[in-house]
Amino acid sequence: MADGHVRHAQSWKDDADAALIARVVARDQGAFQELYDRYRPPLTRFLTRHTRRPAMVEELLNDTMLAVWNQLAGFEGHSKLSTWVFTIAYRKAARALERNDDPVDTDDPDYGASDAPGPEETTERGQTHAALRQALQRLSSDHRTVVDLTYFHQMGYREIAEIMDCPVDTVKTRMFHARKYLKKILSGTSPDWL
Amino acid sequence: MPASSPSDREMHTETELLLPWYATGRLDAEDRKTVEAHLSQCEACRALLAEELALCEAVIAMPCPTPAVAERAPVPGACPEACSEAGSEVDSESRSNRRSGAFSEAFSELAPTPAPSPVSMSVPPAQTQDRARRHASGGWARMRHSLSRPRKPAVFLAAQAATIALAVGAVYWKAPSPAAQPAPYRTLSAAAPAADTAVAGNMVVVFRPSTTEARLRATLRDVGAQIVAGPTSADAYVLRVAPAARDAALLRLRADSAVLLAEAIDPDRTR
Repeated sequence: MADGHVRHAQSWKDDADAALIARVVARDQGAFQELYDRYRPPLTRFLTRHTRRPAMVEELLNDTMLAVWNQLAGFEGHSKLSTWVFTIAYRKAARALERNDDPVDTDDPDYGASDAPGPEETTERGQTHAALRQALQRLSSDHRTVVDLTYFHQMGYREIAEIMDCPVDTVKTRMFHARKYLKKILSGTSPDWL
Repeated sequence: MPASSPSDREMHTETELLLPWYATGRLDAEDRKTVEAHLSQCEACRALLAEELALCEAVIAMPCPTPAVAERAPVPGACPEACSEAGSEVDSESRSNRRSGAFSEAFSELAPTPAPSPVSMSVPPAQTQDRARRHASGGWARMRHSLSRPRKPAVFLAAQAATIALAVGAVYWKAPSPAAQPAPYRTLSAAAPAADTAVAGNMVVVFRPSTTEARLRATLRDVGAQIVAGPTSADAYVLRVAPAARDAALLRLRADSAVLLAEAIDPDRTR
């Protein structure tokens, strides 16, 4: 935070170079694996956060990457490759959620199935994580996704608007309300969080 | 807060809206200039920025709730270490390590191994758990397998259909027989349909979950399609229509409100 900004948490998000894209377009599976490995961690996190259904994440990830494999030739570079890939993932997740009636996976420890603190939550840092985790799960999926894309994936509001197919002002206001709520929860649960 | 004039108040509001991206360094030059000009004269916004930075750091530092991934123990919801690592695996070294792990797994999965347990198609909770385990153990291996087949993307669903068909064992059915094309018999536990062009599916379709069986039948009759396999765990059906009628059938299916997805799976066909 040396210059008043949070250091980028991501190095993966540097867009694939043109040579890699060209190799994938030429159906080079080795190049595609490189792309797959690059996107698997962030997409896994993104899809998990957005859907809250870990059981469907791997399938969505592979559906997304298959679409990338087959449609990359049509990628014209008007946006970053990462924005394009996340847009595909977001749409696939939205469609899957539309037709999926399974409840969210509340057995996932990160989804706060239990209010009892785990061993790691007895520390101040753990308490902050626990409070934040519970606060995040109370947000709507769209609010939670904006928070995750902004903070963790370090995307700009225009990129997020493109991914979520909504106006940039919507992204800004979703973020405004989400962080207001998160700060309120954190302040109430752990006064020293700041 | 020196928001004394409408202009100041607007600047204050705009700055507050933009702070998250200022904190992450993701503003363009113009927005950044706007924010910095306001921050220089608004103490309240400087305090908000401090909160913003703390919140951002807290979210980044949170263990990631990702499910088990390809090279990790496939136990959904019980992998805090893997989750944590997945959430923070942003440096090139860890990427490299994970990548080699994925490679190993890919090739080990391609080696001869005992057949997986049959997938339960009638017990949803077990199916969910089982699907999660299968997914967790697949990752790049499944992706690679899909790519290596001489087909386009939707064949991923077709491959899934074949897997499910094998799992359910000796299930036989007789496909409906449109007048134009006699209906072939086909055992779902038989060899891969790709080898038999007479009964191979050439499109994959997913219907809305709310679609009734009668509606589904009517839709299939309408486009002259036969079910070759399915439903898969993803509720997809592999269909066959007369090759000459396939394009028209796809267009009609895609326009049908009961259809979520309709894709060709012919090997020499592009999307």
